[in-house]
Amino acid sequence: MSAAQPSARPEPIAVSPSVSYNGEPRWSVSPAAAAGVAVAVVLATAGLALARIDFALLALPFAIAAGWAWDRRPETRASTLEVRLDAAPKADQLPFMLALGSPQGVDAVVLRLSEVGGLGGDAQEVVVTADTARHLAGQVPVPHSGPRQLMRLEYRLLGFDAARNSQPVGPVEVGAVIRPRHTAITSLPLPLRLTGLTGSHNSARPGDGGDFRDVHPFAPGDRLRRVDWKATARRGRFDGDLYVRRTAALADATVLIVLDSRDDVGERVAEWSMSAGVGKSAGSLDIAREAASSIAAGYIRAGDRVGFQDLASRARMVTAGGGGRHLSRLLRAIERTSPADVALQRRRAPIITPGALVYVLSTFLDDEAGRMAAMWRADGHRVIAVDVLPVADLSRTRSAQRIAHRIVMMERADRMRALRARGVEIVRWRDPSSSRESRLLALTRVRHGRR
Amino acid sequence: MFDLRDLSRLVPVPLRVLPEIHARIPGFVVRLAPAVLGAFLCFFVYRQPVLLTIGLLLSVLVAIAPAWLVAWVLIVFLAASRLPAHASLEWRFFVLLFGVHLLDVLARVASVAPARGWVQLAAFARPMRRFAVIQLCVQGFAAVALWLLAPSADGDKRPLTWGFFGVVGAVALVVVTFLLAAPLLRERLRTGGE
Repeated sequence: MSAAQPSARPEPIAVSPSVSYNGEPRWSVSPAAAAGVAVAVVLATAGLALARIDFALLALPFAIAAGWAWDRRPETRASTLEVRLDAAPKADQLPFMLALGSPQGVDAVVLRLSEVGGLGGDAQEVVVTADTARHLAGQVPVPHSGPRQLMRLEYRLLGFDAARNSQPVGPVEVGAVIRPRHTAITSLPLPLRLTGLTGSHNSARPGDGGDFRDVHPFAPGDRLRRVDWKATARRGRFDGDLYVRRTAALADATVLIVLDSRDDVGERVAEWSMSAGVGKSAGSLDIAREAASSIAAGYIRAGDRVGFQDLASRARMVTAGGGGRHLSRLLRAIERTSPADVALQRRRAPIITPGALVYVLSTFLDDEAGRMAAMWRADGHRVIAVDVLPVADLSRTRSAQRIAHRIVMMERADRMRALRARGVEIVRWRDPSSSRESRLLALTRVRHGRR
Repeated sequence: MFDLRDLSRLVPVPLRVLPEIHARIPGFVVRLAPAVLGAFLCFFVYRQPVLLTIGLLLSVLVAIAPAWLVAWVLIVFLAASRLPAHASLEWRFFVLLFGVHLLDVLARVASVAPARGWVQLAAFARPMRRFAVIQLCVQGFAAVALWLLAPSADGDKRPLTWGFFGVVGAVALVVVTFLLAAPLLRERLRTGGE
């Protein structure tokens, strides 16, 4: 058994620091301004035709307003939009600063924010002064990890008394990569075979650095300082019998994290379609990213070597390694996983380091991930399948959807049963933390005749 | 059939992304403002039920469809209420002068206010400041002009006549011509007539 030090739960952070945009506004006279001029002309004409000074006086404010607005036409230079994302979200809210620099002569700005948090919903619109638009602070919900569209921004500049307004500028897409949360893992299962001559785990081989292994008759190559005189006095049957205390050699574990990013399903079964995205609740990929990050961080902190592979992509692969920089590389690869447009069908399981422990993180809603796991197990690797399917919420489902869900779950249960029969160990990541920990603890105690 | 859920489409979308814009009002209130002012002015200037009804209908249209520019039709309709009366120095005219101009300003803001969005209160500051400046000038000028040119409410006493203002206008034209011509002549002399 190996234990990693529990760490403080770090907050997710946004990776993309800022978005800048230069918009060229196209100005046009507003219908309202034209109507104001028309009123002035009509009233002035009436005053002239009817020889009525009161009509002419009624036309006066409209004429003055039109002239003033013409004199203060907005400049035609570009507006600048900058969105700076804060690196420290609070309670699933990512603070940001929005700075919209508008040219001289702009009174107000109409801001339109849609697709906020990538959740859809109605667009949020607000008219603010040009001065306010230069220093706007806001926050956007980030319920999910990974590459996310945070919002879509459009704006219109309003000139003097809304006499000249710009056409809508944009849309500007603001996105970021949201880092998943880590969960501190204290129980880390080890592979069936430890490799290397250094590390933090006791291997089965006698050597230096590890814990006490056994008391063994002295053999050529044993150091004299290892002779255990008490054991020799107790056990020696003939003159010249010597017994030495042997320690275990050290070794490190190689762990491969395989993440199945081919689908991302949320809790709501009604939204399990190709077109609907994951809603506000955590999706399977959120859980998978959290699990992969936690596993990677746990093993790297324990001094082991960890690699990463995405089942849906040939490109997203990180070879096994150790150390702090490698952990950063791993976390970056994990947080950038997103559902692939095209499912990658593999004929054979990717070749991995001999003796590696393989974590397969998937929803197991189809055969692919389970097939890979079974192949690795057949090659002699220890394989742990991490089930990342969220707890199903059947509200708002139709009868046909409930039946379809039941059938899919039955097929999935058969798949999991077959995996278990082939020696693949299974952990449900969505179980309560204590239950998951106890399951991992049980897995660390399984020896499987480690060499 | 009427569906209660349709009412939710009238409710402003909460501005959760930009919570720091504190002083703000819903867009539909801004859109209603010119209609309310228009209705008030209709009651103020019209007594006949038919004309009052037309005015109120126009006010309703102002609220429903700001893009149809009905507000400016309503302004002309309100100004037309002066037709039966004769120009005189009376307070009702000044209220109308104030009202139709305010209606124009509010209708302009309403034309750009999102129906389900929000408008920061500070966004009214500049238009209202300009409105106040124009009103100060226009109301003062109107008072002087009506006092000098319009007959009083009880008779046709008129201190000045159009003929007098014709002379004043001609003098003003000469002054303006001189003011415009003088810099041009100076420029010509400086460049030596080239």
